[in-house]
Amino acid sequence: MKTIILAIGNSLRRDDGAAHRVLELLESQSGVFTRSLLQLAPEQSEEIAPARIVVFVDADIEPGPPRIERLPRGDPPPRSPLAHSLRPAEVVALARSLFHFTGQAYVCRVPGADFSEGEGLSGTASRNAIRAAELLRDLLYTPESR
Amino acid sequence: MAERIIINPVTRIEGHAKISIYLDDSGRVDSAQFHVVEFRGFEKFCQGRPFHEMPGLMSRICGICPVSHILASAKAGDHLLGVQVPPAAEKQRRLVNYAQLLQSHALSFFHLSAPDLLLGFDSPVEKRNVFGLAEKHPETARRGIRLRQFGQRIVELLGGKKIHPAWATPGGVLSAVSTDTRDEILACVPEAIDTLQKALSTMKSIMDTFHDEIEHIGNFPSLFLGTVSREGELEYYNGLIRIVDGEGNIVADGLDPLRYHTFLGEASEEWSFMKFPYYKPLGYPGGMYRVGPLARLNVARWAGTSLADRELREFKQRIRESVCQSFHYHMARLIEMLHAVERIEEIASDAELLDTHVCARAGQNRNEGIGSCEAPRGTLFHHYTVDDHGLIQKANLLIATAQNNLAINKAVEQTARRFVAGNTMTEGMLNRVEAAIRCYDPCLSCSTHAIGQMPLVVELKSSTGDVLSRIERG
Amino acid sequence: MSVRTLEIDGKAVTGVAGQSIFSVAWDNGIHIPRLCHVGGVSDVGACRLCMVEVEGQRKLVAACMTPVEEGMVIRTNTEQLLAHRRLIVELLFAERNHICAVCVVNGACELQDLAASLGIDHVRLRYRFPTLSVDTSHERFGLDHNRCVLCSRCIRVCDEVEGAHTWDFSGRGVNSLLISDLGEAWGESESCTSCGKCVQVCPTGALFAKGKMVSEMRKDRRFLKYIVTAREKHEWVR
Repeated sequence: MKTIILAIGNSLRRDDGAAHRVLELLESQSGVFTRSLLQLAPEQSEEIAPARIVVFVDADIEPGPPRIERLPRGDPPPRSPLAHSLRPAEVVALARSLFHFTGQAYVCRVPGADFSEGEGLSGTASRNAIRAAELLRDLLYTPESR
Repeated sequence: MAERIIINPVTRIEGHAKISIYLDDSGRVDSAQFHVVEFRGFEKFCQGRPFHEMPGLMSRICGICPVSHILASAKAGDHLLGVQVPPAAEKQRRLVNYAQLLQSHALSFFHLSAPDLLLGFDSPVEKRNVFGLAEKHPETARRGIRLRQFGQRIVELLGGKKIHPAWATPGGVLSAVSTDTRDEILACVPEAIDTLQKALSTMKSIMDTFHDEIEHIGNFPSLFLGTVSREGELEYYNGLIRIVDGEGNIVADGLDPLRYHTFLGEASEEWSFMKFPYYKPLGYPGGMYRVGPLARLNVARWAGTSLADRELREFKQRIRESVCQSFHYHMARLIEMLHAVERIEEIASDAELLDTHVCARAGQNRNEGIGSCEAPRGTLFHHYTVDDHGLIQKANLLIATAQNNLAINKAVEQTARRFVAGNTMTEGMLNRVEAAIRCYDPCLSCSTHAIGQMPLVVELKSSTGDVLSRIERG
Repeated sequence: MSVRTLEIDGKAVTGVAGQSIFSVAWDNGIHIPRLCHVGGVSDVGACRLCMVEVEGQRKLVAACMTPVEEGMVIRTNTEQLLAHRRLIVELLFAERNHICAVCVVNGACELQDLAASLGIDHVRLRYRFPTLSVDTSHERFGLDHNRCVLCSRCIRVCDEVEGAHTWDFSGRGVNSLLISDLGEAWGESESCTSCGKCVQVCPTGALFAKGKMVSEMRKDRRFLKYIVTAREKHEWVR
């Protein structure tokens, strides 16, 4: 397994589900494994361990263009003490220390505009999802990942 | 000085919790409030919908314990139909309920609480998390993940879909269990038991180092409410409600969960969206009660499975009466998980689980249906009133975290009194206040029916209401 | 029977006089999107999704309502048509309350499939969020107006195949509402035979079998072909 793409979000909160749309836009490709999740949990650290590249696709409430960022190594920033879900940096940190994950981790942000209850994306999120899918294609086709 | 930590790189939609600590004129802690500032919508949302849709709809309340909501909802549906579900269906429901308890407690214990417990409350905040834990105790962290996975896997095998399984329906469940599924479950039991026994022995060995926390983090008498079997054993799916006081005396016993509204009242406060349930005979707020792992161990006489019973006996010997220290919720979770794995093995070994008659058919026979079960965080009630054609007119959900609301407030207040002093807050104070809440592992997304992470905001206020200090985490 | 020769999407095809463009296209493996058409009952041209371009005509025509003519050159899939279809489907979504995630036919819904095939990932229009009722007075079936797209399949199958004519529309335009008999609750309808044909032909979860959970219901329309074949050809074949 070379690449794992995890899409995170709740499609019942409109643009929060933008990441799942990004996955739909990506054509299937050998060596690329995708998965849709409501939120991240500790067990994802074991799932991503065998990958050389892992990309977390998630909606973002901050406006701006969609972008892909490499997750820095090192400890993740402090978190909410009561939250039940994990953030990408935390899953990666766990995977590194517990399951010998040595690959690269990226986060692909898909900014949205409407996070109210309901289904379907806003125009903003929809356009950003298309752009994010293009960015992902570029990333996954760089020589480094071959 | 307000400190703000912005979550990068990705944000979820957030509900958030806020703690206000009020100081008196002399600068000492006067009172504290735990606010939940997220609007609840589910009760409104399901009005006018057919009751058969409820399990699927209710599973959306929570990404952590959807199974409990499905079960309570399906049971309320059984009640509306007036049927007895087939034995295989009941076994499936019980099995998945234990599996969910396992995965939810594993997350709470190994990922949220273990860093405090194994690394110490005063270890630096940047290391006092699951990653610090992974560095220092990698085997514990790994096994915690695998234990949670075991629970999740069972939910997935029977429910089909991990996050929002909607496999239980009024009258039973949708499909039968295959022998492959059963075999897969049984194969995972020995490792799970081993993990839990190791965690229990570690926990017991370090217990004495937390003397101060045990005494001062949420240690106060209260009532405890939980479900027990007719024999007084731990029961999570179908039993009677028992209430004990802070000294272990039975206050009420054999209460029918279907009549919950005769003994439980629901108060509200303008500073929180979460309800404040209380035990009616003692009034509000004197009828404060706690639910969840510790409450269940306090109300049950026996666990009913051999390994868990040994641990429960030892646990009860620590203090003769009820265990009142919130801190012991952690130990209670471990014992409950051990019990759950034993029960999972028992049910999976029962040939009746594989029976293919899994759903009783009937039309609607009542206008009011109530379903209750023990969710990971405590007793859960779903109460639906439907018209003659099965459309929901009114839904009332009494959720575990809300039932612990009074106790959480009390615990925060007590902890603040002990650990907060002066006009600013230190890391150490904040840690203890957080720990007081974490004992109950509140699921705010569920108790207020919003989703996402819960940044915690703590404000220190003067007697005139001025904010002296403000800290936000997450 | 006189034969008509024409061209659809660049393919030379033949049909018989009186046959609709939709039907000729279908026979030739060209599937034009539709919601109101269902094989076995008459067409009404209500949904406008099957609109096609005919060379030499300025207006678009509904394929289900337009008979083929000799020498016609038809296009079913131009950018303009796709844009129209997307808008129609978005209008349907905005008009009522379609919440797929909690619907009985989630995963097996013609409206949902249509949206997916047209690449609709968001609705550009403001949702109306109307307050609509659910009728579960019938012993076995339910009607959820929130999910109704007013295609009238139920009305036609009830009238033409079952012969009961229980269903019809009341109101006009956006206020149209499916009613049984003269607006009584379905369970009190005197004409309804409880045959369930309407439920099976309904393209969405608007008509459903009671007791079904989210994503649990699958509709079966094979019965319609069976009945129509039996009636017209006196052949009782599945």
